Amino acid sequence: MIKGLIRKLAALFMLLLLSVTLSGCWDDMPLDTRTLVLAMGFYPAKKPGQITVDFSFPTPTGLTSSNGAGSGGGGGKGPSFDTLSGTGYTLAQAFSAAQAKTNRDLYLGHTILLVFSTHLKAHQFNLLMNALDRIGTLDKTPFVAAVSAPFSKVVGVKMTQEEFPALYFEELFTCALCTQFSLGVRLWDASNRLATPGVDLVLPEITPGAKGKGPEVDHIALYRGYHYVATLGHSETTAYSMAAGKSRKSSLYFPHHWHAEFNAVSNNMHLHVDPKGSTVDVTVSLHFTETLESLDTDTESAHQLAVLSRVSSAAIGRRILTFLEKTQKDDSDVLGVGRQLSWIDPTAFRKYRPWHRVYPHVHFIVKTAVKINKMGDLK
Amino acid sequence: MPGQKLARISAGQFATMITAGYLGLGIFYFPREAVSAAGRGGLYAFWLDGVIAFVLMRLIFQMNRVVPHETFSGFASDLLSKPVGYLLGLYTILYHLALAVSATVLFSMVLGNIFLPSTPIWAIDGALTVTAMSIAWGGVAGLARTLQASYIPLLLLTVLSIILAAVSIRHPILLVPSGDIRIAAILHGAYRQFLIFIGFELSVTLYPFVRDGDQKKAERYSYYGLLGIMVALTMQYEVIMGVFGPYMTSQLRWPLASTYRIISISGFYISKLGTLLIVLWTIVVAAFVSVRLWCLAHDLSVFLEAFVPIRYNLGIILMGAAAILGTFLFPNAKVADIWNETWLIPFGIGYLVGIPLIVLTVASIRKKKTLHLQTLTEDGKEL
Repeated sequence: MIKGLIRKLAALFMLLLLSVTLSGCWDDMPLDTRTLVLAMGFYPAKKPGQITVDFSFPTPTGLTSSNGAGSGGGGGKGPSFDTLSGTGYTLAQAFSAAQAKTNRDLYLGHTILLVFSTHLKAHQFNLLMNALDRIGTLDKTPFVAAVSAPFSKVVGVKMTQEEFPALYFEELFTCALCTQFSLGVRLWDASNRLATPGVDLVLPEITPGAKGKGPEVDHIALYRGYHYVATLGHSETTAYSMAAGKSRKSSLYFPHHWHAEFNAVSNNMHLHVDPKGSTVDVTVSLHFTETLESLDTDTESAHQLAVLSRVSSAAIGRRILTFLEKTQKDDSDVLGVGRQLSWIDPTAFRKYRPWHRVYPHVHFIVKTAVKINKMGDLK
Repeated sequence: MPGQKLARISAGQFATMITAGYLGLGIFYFPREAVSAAGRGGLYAFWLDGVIAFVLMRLIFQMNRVVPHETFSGFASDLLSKPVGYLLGLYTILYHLALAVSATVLFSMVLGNIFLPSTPIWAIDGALTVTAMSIAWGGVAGLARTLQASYIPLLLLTVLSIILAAVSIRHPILLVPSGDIRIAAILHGAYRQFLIFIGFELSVTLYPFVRDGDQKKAERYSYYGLLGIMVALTMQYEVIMGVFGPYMTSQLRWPLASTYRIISISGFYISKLGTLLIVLWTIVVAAFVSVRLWCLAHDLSVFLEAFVPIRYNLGIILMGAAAILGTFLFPNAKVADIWNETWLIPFGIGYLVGIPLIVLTVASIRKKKTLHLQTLTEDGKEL
């Protein structure tokens, strides 16, 4: 009988012990005591060497109103999101400084957007990326973007389409058919490019829109390692998206050839790398599909299609070659020519170290093939 | 003890326990060790490990057949002399214990780093070990059934998740096996990655518990289990390489966890499916530790039989406590990593190669003694 009692007590003890230890109660925190950070911005601080980190998060009003009127919070007053900032020499210091300004736990597990100022020094960018890689609660899936404007003008802006700006950008970057180019870069993808020799980082840049309009994403920022190099305009961004095989809904216009207009220009890319002595021959093969939108002759002939295919192919080829030559001047290997070489011929790649001295002398050949969907085609 | 020994397991349960027995340790590192040593040739290093594991499994099973109804700890003293038997019994106990400690430390670091930053690591270690103890408490048959019920569905879910992660492959060229074959680097990678297979030594304790007449089938099923794991991990290797590439893979602390964490399914009720899966992998690690604790309880009772008879459940408590204390020796995953590479792998390979060779050699010399041991019943009486 005593034996049975001891057994029951032991089982009860085990049950209590497991229920306490297995629940992870040390980390348990009610949701209403947490601030769910949706976006973070990283900027150089006024004091040299320091960084300022902005945390954008929904306010209780914003959270209840985003749940719909039925939740009872639809009529709440006040802004739907807010921003906190912290400054320090490291991300941890900046985080602590921001945390000191709120009575809620700044929680990073729901972060969906990270923006990096183009004014950050390379070592600061490096420090931040390393720190972000090591935060366990932060998933590796947030989108990453570059900004040159203040956080309040690009992410801390009230949007007309979404309650929270971070959600707007997340949906923009995940929707392949909503944009002209697939520019979304996730944190793990950015870390991957920074860790891999022979390829450089390209980030979409968020720029403030015209007065009364929301921010825009039609520029890209080029990096060489952790160094910010340049921001490219709309036209070069289109060229990049085509060179990288990421064009989705670009358009083309040929005023000297029957005012032909193409839309839905999409493509894929194949990179062929061939080491030749002291340099490397790179063939960028691009296969385009584009839809003929309008023509001043109203209907197209076989001859017109042949001419337009040739003209379009040549124009795109020239445009992309010019873009690639620009990246060579900036010494930013955006297509990952060196990376491709390291995969197909690691021995040859080792001979070309450091790659950044070789890349400006790489010989590019751009081959384009265009398939035109005719105006009458049903898709 | 005799009551415990009469509880038998099926061939399938034996294979499940063996498979669960070797995955728990290296799974979260995989394939970092192979890739950081051999680059894209890491796949060859892993396949080489699979071949070595197969050969060593054959060797161990051959040893098990010398006295099929008795565990290695049980017959070692009789066949190899008492001092040698005790020494090898102690070696077996330390090996089981070191594997249990190492698996617990590695998994608690993954959980602590990613999900429970405020929870003390000792609490995670303790919770995992106590869970493993409670699974092992019911004996080998109950343990086998628990493993089958939880571990096999989890493996299927893992394979499905690997397929989901495949949509994130950015560099299909990396799926083609590399032509860059550097023998020394591949051997180095195979050595470091062997951690994943080092745990099948538990067959020396489990073999006699397989139902009579099912031993051959159990061996065959174990080979199928090895083949299944090779296929699943090759798929996983390919996905990890295709997503991250060799440079990033060698820098990831937990490549498997990182791969699962990039799986995000919009619209699904759990958008971070991969993250959920990492938590479910607790089952695999708890299984790894619980099988070991049960084997430890058995080996300890055999080892101490001549001095003081102890019950299995007491053995589980003692060994569980030893495992928890052992985890305190490791302040972080890096120390565990260095310790595994410097001591556990050579210690383990020495065991897996050395013990069968010694037993088979002595058995071929002492044929009469071997025959005598083979004719003894489980109770030690002659047939």
